[in-house]
Amino acid sequence: MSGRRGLHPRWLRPRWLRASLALAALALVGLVASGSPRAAAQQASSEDELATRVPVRLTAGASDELMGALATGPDGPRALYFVSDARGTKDLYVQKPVQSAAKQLFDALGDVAAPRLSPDGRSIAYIGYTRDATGDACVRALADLETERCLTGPDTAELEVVWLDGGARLGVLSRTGMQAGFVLRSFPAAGGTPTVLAKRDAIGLARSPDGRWLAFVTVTPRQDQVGVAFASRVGKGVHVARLSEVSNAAADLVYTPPLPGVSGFPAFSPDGRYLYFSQYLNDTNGDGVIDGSDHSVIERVRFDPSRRDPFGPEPPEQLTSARWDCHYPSASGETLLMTCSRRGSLDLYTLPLDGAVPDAWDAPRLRGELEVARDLSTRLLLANRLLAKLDAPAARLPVLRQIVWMHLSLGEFEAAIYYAHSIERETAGPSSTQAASAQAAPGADARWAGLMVELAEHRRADRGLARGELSSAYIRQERARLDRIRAAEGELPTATRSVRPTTRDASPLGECRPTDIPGLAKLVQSEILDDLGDKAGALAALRAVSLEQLSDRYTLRLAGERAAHLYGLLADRPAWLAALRTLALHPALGEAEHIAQAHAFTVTLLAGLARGRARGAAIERARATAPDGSALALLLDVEAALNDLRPDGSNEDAVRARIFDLYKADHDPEHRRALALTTINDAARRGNEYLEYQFTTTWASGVRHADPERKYAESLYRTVVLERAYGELSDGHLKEAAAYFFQATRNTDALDPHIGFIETRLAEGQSIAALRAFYAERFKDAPAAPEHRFVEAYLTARGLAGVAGDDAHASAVAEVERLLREVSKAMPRRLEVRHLWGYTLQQAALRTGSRAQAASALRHYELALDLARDRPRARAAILEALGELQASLGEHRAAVASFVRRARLPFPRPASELALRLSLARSLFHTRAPCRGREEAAGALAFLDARPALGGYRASALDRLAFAHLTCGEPAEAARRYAELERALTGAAGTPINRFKAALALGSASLAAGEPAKAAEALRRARALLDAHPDLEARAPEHALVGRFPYPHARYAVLVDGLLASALVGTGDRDGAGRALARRLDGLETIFKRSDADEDLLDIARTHLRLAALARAAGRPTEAVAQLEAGLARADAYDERTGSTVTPTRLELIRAYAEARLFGDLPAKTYHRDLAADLSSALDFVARFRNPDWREDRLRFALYLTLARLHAGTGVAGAASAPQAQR
Amino acid sequence: MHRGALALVALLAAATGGGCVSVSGLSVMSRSTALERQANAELPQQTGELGQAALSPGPEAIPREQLATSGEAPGLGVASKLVAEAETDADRVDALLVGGCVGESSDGTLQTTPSRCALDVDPDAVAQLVGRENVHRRQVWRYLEARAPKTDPGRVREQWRSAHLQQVVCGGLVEGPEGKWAPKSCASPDEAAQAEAVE
Repeated sequence: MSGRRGLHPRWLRPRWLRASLALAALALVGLVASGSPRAAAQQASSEDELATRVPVRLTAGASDELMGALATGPDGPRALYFVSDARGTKDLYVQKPVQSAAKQLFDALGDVAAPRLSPDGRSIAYIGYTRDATGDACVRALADLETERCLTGPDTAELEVVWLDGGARLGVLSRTGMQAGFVLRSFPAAGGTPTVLAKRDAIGLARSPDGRWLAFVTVTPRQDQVGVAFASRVGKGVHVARLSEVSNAAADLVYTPPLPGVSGFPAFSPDGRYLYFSQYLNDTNGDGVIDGSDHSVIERVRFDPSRRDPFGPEPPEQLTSARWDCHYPSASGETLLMTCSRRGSLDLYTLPLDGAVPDAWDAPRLRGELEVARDLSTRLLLANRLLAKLDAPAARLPVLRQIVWMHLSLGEFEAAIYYAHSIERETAGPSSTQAASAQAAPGADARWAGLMVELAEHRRADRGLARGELSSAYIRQERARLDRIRAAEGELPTATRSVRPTTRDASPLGECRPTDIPGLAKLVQSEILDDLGDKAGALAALRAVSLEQLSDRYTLRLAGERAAHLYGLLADRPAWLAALRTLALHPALGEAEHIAQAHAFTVTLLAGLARGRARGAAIERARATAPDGSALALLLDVEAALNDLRPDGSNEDAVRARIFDLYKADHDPEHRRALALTTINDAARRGNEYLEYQFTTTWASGVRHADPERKYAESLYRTVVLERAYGELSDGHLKEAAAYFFQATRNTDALDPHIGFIETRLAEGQSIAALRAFYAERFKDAPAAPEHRFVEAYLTARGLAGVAGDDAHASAVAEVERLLREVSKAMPRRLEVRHLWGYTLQQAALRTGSRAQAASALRHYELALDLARDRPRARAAILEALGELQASLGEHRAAVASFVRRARLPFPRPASELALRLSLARSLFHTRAPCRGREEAAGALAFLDARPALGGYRASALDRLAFAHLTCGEPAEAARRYAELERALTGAAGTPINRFKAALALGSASLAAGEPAKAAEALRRARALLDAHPDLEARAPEHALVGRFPYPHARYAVLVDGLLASALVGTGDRDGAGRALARRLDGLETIFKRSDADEDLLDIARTHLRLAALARAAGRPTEAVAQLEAGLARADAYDERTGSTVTPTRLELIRAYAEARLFGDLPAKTYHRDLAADLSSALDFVARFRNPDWREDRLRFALYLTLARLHAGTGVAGAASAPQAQR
Repeated sequence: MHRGALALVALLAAATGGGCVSVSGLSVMSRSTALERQANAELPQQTGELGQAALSPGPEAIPREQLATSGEAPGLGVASKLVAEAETDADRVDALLVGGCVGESSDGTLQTTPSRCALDVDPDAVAQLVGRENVHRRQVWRYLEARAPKTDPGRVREQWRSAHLQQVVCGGLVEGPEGKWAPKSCASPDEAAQAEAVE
């Protein structure tokens, strides 16, 4: 990611000019928009490759979701079943419908894996680990998920299941011992004795739709002494066996794909005509082995057992790009379901059955897309599909060479080597293309391929070195390679050096000429010598290559790489530039290559040079020797113009004119593309929106609709025009903003411009009805167009908060969902659709209190967030909503994370920023960070106070801040804020419950702050409110998603009385305190009669303790003893009900009782409890559980027990005061 | 976890995994929720309005300058790529330099700087890359020293570093005098003055 762009003040132009520019652009739009309809763009994120389809994600969240099984019906997918580790263990989940939130299918006390739906869709089989840590094959009926039937026992370890016989039987792959091989058994689905189908070391079982065939891959043990389950390697290819003959390995049909790497996870297409499988092409994790830990692509091959070659003659088709790393294919209905690994998370994705590249694309279409694709992995996918359509060697060879080069560039050495060997095989002997050329010599392509193999093997070995440090084995091996290459070089005929290529001979995918081979050999030697540390030798080898004599584009590219590496290391920029200049002007290369090299030249020339004179001089010097009309001259001219652009943009019009003159003068489409993109990228880096916009529209208007480049132009257009629109909006120029948004809606099929247009028009005062009419007119010829449906959904959804009546609201929600389902079928990867869907369901959940709707909203938001990685405006909106949703579900930790991420982005709406600050403060409290919450709440109040328009929310902010102070242990501050809150609770906010809570909290805070008089005053006010409102209780919001319980009047009453008693003790009013406590006691007893809750018993016991203390202080020891005994009786009841031995309350009661008994003057008959027994049980407990808080009690109780026993023996009552425990 | 999961499925190796136990869902009222219910004011209108203020059915209309200030300016994406090419080691080093994950140290080597790193990187992969690059640099210095046998090796390296720093990417982390690390500035005097005026 590039660094921050320089800040560029918005260019100031008169509004009329801005408006007319917008209108002029609209006119341009009219020209552009006529003609053939736009191809529907797939783009959700601007990082997506546009050339091919992109997998659609079905599962949301950061956890891993894998091993999916799709249930489909006549209308498409109905339900998705999969394994997820969202809760820490691997459980089975379902999304039904597929676009809803995931629900755990059933609760098993162990992991679950490898689910398989029965053919009739009524049952699900899986491997369960609840009863057997080595796994059991189990089945549940979907209509009765509580009942699990496990067909196997603890004597076998189950690995996989597969339905057989139309679902009447279940095939189970097991291991019968630690070192034993695998066995496939068939069980009756209803349970019973199995039959052994085969003893085969096979995995990845898949049954054909007609039930006759079983596909799998074989495994073999790595070592004889260790069982195949523990150390194995996958066998080559995919096996397909008739079920009736699966035990006979010799009868297998074996498909070894003509691909590098290993295969796995076979699956049949729904019609049985194709076999899908994962192919691990390269050792992408660098562990030296190609296996299931490496990146995978999904392939498919035809399967027709009636043919002599059931898998041929067509080659396999690659369906996914290696960048997506997809595994575990399964095909159902019209959908290919896969598990793909993206950004550290596994999730389930779908594509159509023909994968990322439509079947219908012919070779010309594939070539066209291949040329414009921006990503090498996508180009590889396209090249492989193209290769599958080509038969003639002359056509295949250039594609194969391109494939070799791309794999080499990506560091996919195994694949590069594989395809290089393919070239050797296909060109064995004189090729037909070489025979056709008088300049050809036999074996040039094969030699080229051989050198590429050497290069790939060398690079693989080099990458294998730990941190680049040479080893003696490596040195030996590479020196041997050098010797081989030199020896082969010596065998080349001298006549190969006599021919110089001309421009006439160049072709974009030109074949390798014999004159290239010596040069290529030298370049490979240069790289090897370089990596062996012989820089002098490497340089000499590079300098020995005459670039002018080369014609192969890949050899020339390799020369460029060598020059970049060596001259870059030497910091020898002149030599580096000289090499790049030669390449940029080389007659053997096409214009696309010239542009690539010219681009590299300018980047290298200008690296580290600040804009200004020095940079201009460097450009001028280079331009002096660049031939007019060349790509190099063009790019240098563009750089010269851009270099003159002033930082404040005051001369941008002149710069624009200069570059536009260059554009007009050069009609080559590749040149124009290079000019436009160079200008746009530079302008974007410098924050010059004017130039960005001008050249985006210029370029986009020049790209024909049928051109594969068109979708890239549209994507850029959308991005740039929207930036302009948002800029106008932020300046308050609504009309201009609306024009730009509208422009974007006309020229792209993006959805966010529609949102911008709608919101801008509404801000201008237009009504929803008028907008509906406008869109109805616009789409009158295509009312079912997805853009129109989306707009209808948006217009309805944005009004949901204002819909009166729950029925009307529910209807509106249902309608929006119906429309969005329709849109998502045509546009499955649009973040606007997910966002709006999440918003709608969140509004629904707010209205109904439905957790199911909230959970579905969460899923849509998470999917939207995944698509919004480089769309910060959308991300801002989604994160805030997501945080609110998570908080409302009680997921406060996740909410804090969402809020914190959101807070890094700007807030255009102060109310939303205030809402976030308060919500964050709340969630921080819930995540046990109350002091951080206090900081946020204080920030929120300060934010609000600085914005008078938000004054209506002051009570909310005060309430949050006061509460935060209280929970952060700052009672004095809390008291101050609660006092302020009490004063602020007027009007609608001044309800009895609110005034009561404020008074109660003020009392509590004042008490904690050591201000009993203030506390008593507040608590009396609270008490008065309670008395005046006998129905006063705290209620959850009407449709709260969590914690829907009231806090009743009676509870508040006892709370207030308890606090009041403490306050009155503090003011010296013991009688008042006693009355309050007596009221509290009565209240608690009444509550307990209704609640029968154990905790209430302890509260009662505690109240007796406090009453005893009051009685003692008032000189009423008999009453004190009675209270203590009553308290102990309640504590006994609590212990009996809960199985406790001791509680802190009980310890206090015993202590007080013992002191009364041992050191008081009352006669023995006053006491009715066995003190020694009480002391003994308490002492046992505190002695056994060495809580440091009970240290004093341990000493004290031991002493008191001794005294108690002594007194029991002598019958003497206690005397004097209770001794302090010795420290 | 997921690589392990796939490897397990792919090869179905030790079927000894899966002994984990999950706890069935329990519904428990937290103390914090109870305390909140007891103490917090009930302001449904304000809460409702603020709740709605937090929600938006579409993107936030944030101006570009504000996004740029927060470091989140929207990119132009793949459509703006002029040349389709694989990322080279040099490209990776540039990205790491700008991200503050590696720096050009004063002794001429690349150095990992994890405490300054603003990117989510694999430290092992970065260490491998830095190691490879430094091996090449040392080899180049030996080559240059061999070509200038009368020059002090330290001086050779200094001269190399001086030339090398000229072509280091703008914004890349460089160690200056007294061990101070700072991004390389490529702003022209005009641009620097402009940036200062804006701040």
